[in-house]
Amino acid sequence: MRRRAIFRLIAGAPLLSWARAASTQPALKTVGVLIALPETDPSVSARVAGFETGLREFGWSAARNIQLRYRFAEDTAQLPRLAGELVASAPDVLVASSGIVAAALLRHTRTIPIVFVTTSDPIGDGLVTSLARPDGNVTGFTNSLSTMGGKWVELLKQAVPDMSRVGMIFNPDTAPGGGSYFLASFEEAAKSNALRGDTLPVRTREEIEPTLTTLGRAPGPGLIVVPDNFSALHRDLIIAQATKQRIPAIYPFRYFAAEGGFMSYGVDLPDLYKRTASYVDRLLKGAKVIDLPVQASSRLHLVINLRAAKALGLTLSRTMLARADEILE
Amino acid sequence: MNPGADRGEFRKPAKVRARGQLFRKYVTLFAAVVAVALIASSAIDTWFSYLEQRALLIRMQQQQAETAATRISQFIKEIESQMGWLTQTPWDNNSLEEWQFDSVRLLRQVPAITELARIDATGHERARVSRIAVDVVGTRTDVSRDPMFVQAMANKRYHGPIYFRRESEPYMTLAIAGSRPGYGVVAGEVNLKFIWDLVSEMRLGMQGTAFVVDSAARLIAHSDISLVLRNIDLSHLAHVQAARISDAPEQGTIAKSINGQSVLTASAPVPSLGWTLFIELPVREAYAPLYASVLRSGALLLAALVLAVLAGIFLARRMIVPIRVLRDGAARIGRGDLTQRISIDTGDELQALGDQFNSMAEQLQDLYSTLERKVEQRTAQLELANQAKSRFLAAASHDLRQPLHALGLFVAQLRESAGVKERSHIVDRVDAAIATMNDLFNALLDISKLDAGALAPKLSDFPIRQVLRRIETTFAGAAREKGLSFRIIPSDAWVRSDSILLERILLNLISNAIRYTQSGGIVVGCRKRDAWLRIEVCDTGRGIPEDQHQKIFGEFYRAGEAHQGTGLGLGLAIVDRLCGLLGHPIQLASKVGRGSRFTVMVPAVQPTGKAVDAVPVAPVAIDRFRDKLIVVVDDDPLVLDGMSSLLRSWGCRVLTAATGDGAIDDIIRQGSVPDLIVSDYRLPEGQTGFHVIAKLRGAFKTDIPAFVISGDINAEPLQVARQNGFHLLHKPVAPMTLRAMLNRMLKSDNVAAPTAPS
Repeated sequence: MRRRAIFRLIAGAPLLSWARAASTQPALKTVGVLIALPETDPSVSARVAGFETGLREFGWSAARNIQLRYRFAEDTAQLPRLAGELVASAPDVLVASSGIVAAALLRHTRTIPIVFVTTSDPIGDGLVTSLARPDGNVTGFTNSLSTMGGKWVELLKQAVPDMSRVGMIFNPDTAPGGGSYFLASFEEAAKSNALRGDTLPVRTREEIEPTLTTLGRAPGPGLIVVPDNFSALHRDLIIAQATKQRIPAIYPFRYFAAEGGFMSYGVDLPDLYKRTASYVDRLLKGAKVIDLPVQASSRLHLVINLRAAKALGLTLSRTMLARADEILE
Repeated sequence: MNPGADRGEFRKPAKVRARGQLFRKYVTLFAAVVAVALIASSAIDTWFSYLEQRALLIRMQQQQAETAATRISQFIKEIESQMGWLTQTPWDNNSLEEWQFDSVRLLRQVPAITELARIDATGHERARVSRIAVDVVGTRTDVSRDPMFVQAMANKRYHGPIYFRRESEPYMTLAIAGSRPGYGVVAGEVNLKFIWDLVSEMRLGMQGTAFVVDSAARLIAHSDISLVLRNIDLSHLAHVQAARISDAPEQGTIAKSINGQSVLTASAPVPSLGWTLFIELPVREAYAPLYASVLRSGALLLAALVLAVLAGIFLARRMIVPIRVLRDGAARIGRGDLTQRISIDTGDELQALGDQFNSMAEQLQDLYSTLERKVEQRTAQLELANQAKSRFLAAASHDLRQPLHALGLFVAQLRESAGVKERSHIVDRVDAAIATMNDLFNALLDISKLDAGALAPKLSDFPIRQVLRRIETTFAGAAREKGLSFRIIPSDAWVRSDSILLERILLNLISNAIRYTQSGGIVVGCRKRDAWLRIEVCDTGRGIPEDQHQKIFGEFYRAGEAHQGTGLGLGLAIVDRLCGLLGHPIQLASKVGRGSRFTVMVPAVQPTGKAVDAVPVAPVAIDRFRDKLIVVVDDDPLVLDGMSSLLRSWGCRVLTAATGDGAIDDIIRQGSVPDLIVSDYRLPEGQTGFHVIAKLRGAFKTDIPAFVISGDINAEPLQVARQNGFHLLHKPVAPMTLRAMLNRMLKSDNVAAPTAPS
């Protein structure tokens, strides 16, 4: 061994570096990334940028030592096919943008490590059995505790003190626990704030408009949008209808507010992409999934869109404004 | 083991080994010197860089740990001081909204706080604000027995144990009591993930880790969150223990990490919390630069060694190659190849040595060629001598043939002619021929004696006058007959020489001079020059050409082409040999037509005592031979016949014995004692004349006078005769010589007889 090292020294550095470059060429790592949003979705570029920035911080460069295979689903129906394709290309690590994407991938492989960028209830959705020691091939980051259902109600009530009725919209097919995950805290908070709390399950895009139209006709309406791939996919319609029906709504991610939503309270998604990169790095370097606990995001951001507030004819209290981490003018 | 065989086997490899030893020695020595220097320097270098590297690492780790600990401490202090604002006044239900507002602001400012609770002085929770749950107000939950409340009231602040929310979120309850006891307490649930973020954001090399333990050595934060989630007790780790025991634990110790790795550790206490922050860097990584530098040093060392060996080889070659050239050159010179030259061009002592070898070889070569030349010269001289000998023999036999031939003719004439007058004329001629032969044999004998070294000169001091007088007597008549003047200039000088041999030299020179001088005369004179007496014999003869000056001293040289018939051509050869024997230089000055001058240089001496004149020859008395009984022994009947006839004609009685013991016995038997025995030297059956003489003397019991005649030309009989005290004559013996010998023998007998006491 030492002799070989000495030989290397004698053989000369230029030859050595050339040999190393040649030898690492075939060892190019591949990472499959499946995002359940169209490639044209405005939030996609931020997600990809966050992920690749994170990878670069760990020394992975798409041009040099890593190959990133992105697949974008315009519809959740496409997920099984795309997941199959991606798994068939046998990447070293798979990245799932959300819980349902991870589930789709998990149906095709039980060996390739899968990192989900964000989901709410990985245990409830059957992705992992333990957060501290995931014993399958899936790990990742969570965004919202179940108590967040109550928190959203509280925050929305603080922002809109004269709200009397609050609805929680979700797709039972894609939402955590079929929509039940946040339900308890939601209902409790509604009760303690003397609000009428309604669950608004929708399964298709088409159902969104009538549902919100109905909610908008009620006095003092409010809307909770839970983190759900469905709501992310159809946020344009949800935001547009909420604005149209003059319903103050609170969303789980900043980009909802950035795209016209009234306010958002939740994790920093691009930050989660960066943290996903750290897990991808460790997995590519040989770490086991079981050693990578499912981590909760510790940063929650309150974002208020003042223009949307103005459109809704709302004036925000001093406390509310003080509480906001970001105010969009 | 056979010692001989062993030695034989041993010698060969030893020789082979000796060939490369010097070379290997040089290379090894050179390489060893360089290697030792390099190893020492790189070892020292490595050791110091190890120390420096270690110190640097420890310092860096320590600083990092302290910085991180300070940041953690500040983080907690910040939370505490922020929470402190909420306890500036006692709880008042009327100011609930105000408190809520302040709390919300606090939550915004301090993201780590997830929930805030306000507890009044009695220990009842009055309000709770949360990020993730609905705010609760107006409750009166009793927490007065909660350790949080108790300790916060007692110590102003309370740091609760770590607990986990949702399995993966480390939390700690932090409570601050109001500035006055009545103000109550504010409790915050602090998400320690912020500390974890802080810890995991620390850049600690490739595999460095940082972690924080609380006062119970429980893990609060670790770069690897999964470890924290396992709620691990780290009190078993040596460095953790050390930090708990000591306020200032030793930094930079090497310990085992949680997962059993060998790590370099540093720690820093987190002020006021009782926590400790540790930084661990795997030893392998920490010392990687060191290992690299060791490897580098090793490679350099190796390269330097290779260089040293190469340089050693180069230098040793520079040293060895000329030495080998020297050795090979010397070996070739030793084998006799003297033309070998050693070519070394190093410009140093070795070259000088090579040059020395070359000059030595040159001298050897010169010596060798000189020797060779000398050997060649000697061989040529020997060959010349041999040829001269052959020529001499041919000439001698030719010169002997002439008188023999003449004798044959005269004998035939004698048979034919009857006239007395004619006969006597022929007999005269026969005498002359015999005389010539006799002279020739005498001369030959002289040369033989001289060449054989049989002649020992008897040196004595004598006046030259004696010799000159005898010469004058000898030649005066002959010169007069030839009509030449002959003059000897008297001298009183004394010389050291052998008078007889010196006389012979002069006799030869003068007889030559007379022979080759037709008119004029001969002058013999002496001149003293330094220590020499120059005896000069000058003639007015025809002279000798310059180129013949050396040749005339050779045998059978006769001046001029025409054979004069009188000279033998041996005179000067004898002179030359005699002069050589006596050590008298001889010189010749001569010009054709102007005569010649021979100079013999004899050592001059001071006159001493009285000169002894040579014994004059007694007159011959014929009567002495009358009736003498003479025994003649010879195996040749012709000789016996001739001898007995001649002796009888002189009045002697003769007994002859042809051969062997029989004839001798006859003589003994006849009874009368012989007066003289004349015997041939070489007799049949290996006997010599001496045996016969001894036998006869023995038989007659008397010392009968005797002499031996030898036909042998070599020196052996002469030596034997001398040893036995006999006289020896050489054949052919002239009648006159025989008569003279007889005379001498019988006279001594006569003289001896009366004086002998009988």
